[in-house]
Amino acid sequence: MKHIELLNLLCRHKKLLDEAYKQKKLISAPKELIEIGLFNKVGGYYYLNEIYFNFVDTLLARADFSYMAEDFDREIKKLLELKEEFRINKTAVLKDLIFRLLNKIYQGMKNRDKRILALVEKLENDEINELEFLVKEGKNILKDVEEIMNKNALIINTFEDFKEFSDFREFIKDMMIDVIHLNQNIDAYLKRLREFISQTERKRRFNQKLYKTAFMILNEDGKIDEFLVTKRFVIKQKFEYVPDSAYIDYEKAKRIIGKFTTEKKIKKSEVKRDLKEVIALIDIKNLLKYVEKSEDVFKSIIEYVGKVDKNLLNESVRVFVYILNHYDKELVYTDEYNEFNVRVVKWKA
Amino acid sequence: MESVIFDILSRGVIISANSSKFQKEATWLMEDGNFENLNRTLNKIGLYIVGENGYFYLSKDLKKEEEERFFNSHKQLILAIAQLKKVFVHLDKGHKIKKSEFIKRFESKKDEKIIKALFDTDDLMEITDKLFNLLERNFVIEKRSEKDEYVVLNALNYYLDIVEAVSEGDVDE
Repeated sequence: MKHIELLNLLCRHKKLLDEAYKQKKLISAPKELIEIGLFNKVGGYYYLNEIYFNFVDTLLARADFSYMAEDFDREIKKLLELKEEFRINKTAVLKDLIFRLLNKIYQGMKNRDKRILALVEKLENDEINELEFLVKEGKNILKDVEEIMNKNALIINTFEDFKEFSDFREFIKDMMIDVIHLNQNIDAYLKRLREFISQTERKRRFNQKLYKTAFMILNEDGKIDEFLVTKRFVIKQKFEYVPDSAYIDYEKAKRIIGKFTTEKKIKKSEVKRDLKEVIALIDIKNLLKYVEKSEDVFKSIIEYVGKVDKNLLNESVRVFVYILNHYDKELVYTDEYNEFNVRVVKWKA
Repeated sequence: MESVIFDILSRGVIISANSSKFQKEATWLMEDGNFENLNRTLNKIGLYIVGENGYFYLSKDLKKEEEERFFNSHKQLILAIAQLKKVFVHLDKGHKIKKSEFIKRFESKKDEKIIKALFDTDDLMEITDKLFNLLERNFVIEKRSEKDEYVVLNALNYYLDIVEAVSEGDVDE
């Protein structure tokens, strides 16, 4: 059969091939496609030949988790043998063989690049599979890609070695630009894979916590209630309060809120300083010494900031919030309010 | 605007910054000055606005007798989110999810115990509707104009933070 005849044959059966490509197997297949080996019968079904999947998936830049990247070990070994032979005997046949092998590896690396990218994207876009599975697959792929990265060094060295022959020099030079670029791609895929694995691990760990908490709820585990009322939880999560209208004295609140419903004239305020800048300006270490053992951290902050720079006084609230966020464990929250209407927070004795 | 926001928050709404429904209110609350002024006023009557991770809610100190109700409503939501996350394993704030996709994946990801604890039915469509309604009613998801699409609101993290805190407590023990 000629190539053009094969193309015509495939065209004639394009709908069936499309179906077989999507479904992976068929109950029956045309005799002429079986005869050329495009379909193989296994266990009562007709399977499309793997070479067809390889061909199509490479051209369409697709990969599923069964894809295993080639490392060109055998080709490189052969190439090294041919190089030694060529050094002694520069025949046209050898030259052609080397060209074809070099080209095969080069084209193979390009194809492999497309499919590894497809594989990384498939992992990143997977919304259905379990996270455990994705982490496991991600780690397997990472291991493969790391190996490819190592082996690429050998490929590059082998290619470079062929520059010693004027017959291949230009060809190698042309290829190397691309090969180095492909190697950089592999490096980028490694980074993406590592990032994907660590993010997915994080999600997986969190989901486990969620399912464990759900399990505790279902089993009426008293630990949850106990935990929710602990001071530790209250401070850390700031869930001191509950968003439920049933608990709000609506009328009372509305009377007070009503005072503020008229439009206020708002002065144009100065551009706010960046909090980091404020923290740097007030010297946080000295501030910490100053508020240590304080009976009212907010008041101590005002006193301290006032001494450092009066212009920074209006930043006191933000500094206070910064302290609350960063030194939670050192603080005791009381139920009282000071004259600034700020909750009295003490530094632990 | 203060009274409008107070009106909304006092109904128990969690206003998420990525909500379309409460976009104006969220923008207003994200202004530090606005937030602080309203909060200061509310503090006087024992109410507080909590603003964190892109959402806001009104709150008050819990009385002992109120705890049970507080926990029960939260526990229900945690269970519902656990089931939703079994179906959409990557679920996070800002994600868009579809009821039809949930229905498609549900059978293989169903947690019998959670569903039994939450709903008194085995009917897939009914379970889906009830679960989505529960989450929508509690401001975890919001329906988008497209018929079948919901966006996951920042308020999801309100519940996930509880889980995180409970788990941390667990680890420390």
